[in-house]
Amino acid sequence: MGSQEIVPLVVVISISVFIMAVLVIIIIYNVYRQRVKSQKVLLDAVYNAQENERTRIAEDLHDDIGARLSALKLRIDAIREDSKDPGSVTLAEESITVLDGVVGDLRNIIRNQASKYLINNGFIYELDRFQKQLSVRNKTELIISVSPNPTGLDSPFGVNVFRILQELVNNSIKHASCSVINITVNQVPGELTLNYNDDGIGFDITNETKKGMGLANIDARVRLYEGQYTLVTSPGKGTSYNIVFKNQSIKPTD
Amino acid sequence: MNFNSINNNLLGDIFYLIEGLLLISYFYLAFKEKDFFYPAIILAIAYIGYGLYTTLFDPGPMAYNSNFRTGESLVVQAMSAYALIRYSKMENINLVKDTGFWIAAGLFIYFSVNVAIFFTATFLIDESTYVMRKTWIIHSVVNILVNLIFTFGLTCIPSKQPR
Repeated sequence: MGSQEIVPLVVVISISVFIMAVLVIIIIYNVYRQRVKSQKVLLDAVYNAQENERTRIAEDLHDDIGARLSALKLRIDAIREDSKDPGSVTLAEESITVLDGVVGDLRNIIRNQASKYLINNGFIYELDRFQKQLSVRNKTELIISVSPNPTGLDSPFGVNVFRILQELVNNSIKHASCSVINITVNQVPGELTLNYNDDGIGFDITNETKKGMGLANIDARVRLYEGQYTLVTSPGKGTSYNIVFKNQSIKPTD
Repeated sequence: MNFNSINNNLLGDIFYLIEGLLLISYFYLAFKEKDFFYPAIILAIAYIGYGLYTTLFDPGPMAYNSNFRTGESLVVQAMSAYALIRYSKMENINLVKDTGFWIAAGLFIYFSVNVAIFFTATFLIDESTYVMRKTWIIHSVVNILVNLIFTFGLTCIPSKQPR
C-alpha cells in the first residue's frame, strides 16, 4: 500500500474513532440524565409519602387526642364549677392552664406536620406562625424578611421550601447554640433566593460525620427542584446558606 | 539553516513522558481515591519504563516514537473513560456544568483519536513524511476541537457562585 493510499484510511479511521468517542460521551450523559430523573421521581415519591404520612398523623392527633383533650378540659371545668372546696378549684384551674398549654403545643405540632395548612393558609402566614411559635419556645431570635407578594409558594414547591427552612432552623437550634437566625426570602421573576444565617458555633464542613442526615435532606430537597446552594461555615463563625431556585414553576420530576 | 534537518524526536519523547505523568497525577487528584493510589503508582512506573525502553532502544531516540505516543494515548483514554463513568454516577453534580466532566470528555476524545492515529502510524507508516504530515493535520483539527471543549469546561468553574 502506497503512502498516498494510506492517508484516506488514516482519515477514515480517525473520524470514525472521533465519532465513536463523541457517541460514548453522549451515551454516558444520557445514562446520567436517566439516573438523575429516576432519582427525582423516587425522591418526589418519598417526600409525597412523607407529607401524606405527616398529614395522616396530624389528622389522627387532631381528631383523636385533640378531641379527648377538649373533653377532658370540659370535665375539669365542670369539676371547677361544681366544687366548693377552694383547694380543688385551684387544682382544677391549674390543670386547665396545663391542659391549655398541651392543646396549644398539640395544635402547633399538627400545623407543623400537615402541609395542607401551608397550602390553604399560605406560605407567608405559616412562616409568620412558625416565627411566633419559635419565639415563645426558644431564646433564639428569628428574623424573617420576605419580598412582597411572592408567588408560587402556596404549593408543593412552597412546602418543600418551608421544610428546608424548618430543617435549617432545627439544626441551628439543636446543634449551633445560636442566638439570632436571619432568613431572607427574595423573589424576582424566575428566581427565588433564600438567604439563611445564624450566629452559632458553626462546624467543620470537611468533617463528613458532622454533616448528618439534616444536610443530606436539605441537599436532596434543593436538588429536587433543580436549585443550587452554597454553604459557608467554619467552627466559631456561624453558618450561612444561600439557596437559589431558578425556575420554581417546574415540577420535581421534569 | 535548514530547520527540517533538526531531529527533535527525543524532546517529543520527554514531552510525552511529562504529559502522561501529569495526566495520571491529574486523574488521581481529581478523585482523591486512596484505592487508586497504588494502581496509579504502578501505572506511572510501567509508563516510565515503557517510555524509556521505546526512547532508548525501539525505535530509539532519533526516530519518531509513535509506540510511546500510542501507549500514552491508551493509558489516558482508559483513565478518562473511567473518569467519565465515575462522573455519570455522581449524585450531587450537574454534569453539564461540571468542569471535570468536560476535561475528561475532551481528553477522552483527543486521546481516542490519538490512539487511532498513532496506532495506525506505528503499523502502516514506514518513514513516510507525507503521511506523517497528513496525520498531524488530523491531530491539529482534533486539538482545536478539544481546546474548545476545555474552554467551555473552564467557563463552568464556579468562582463564588452557588454550586
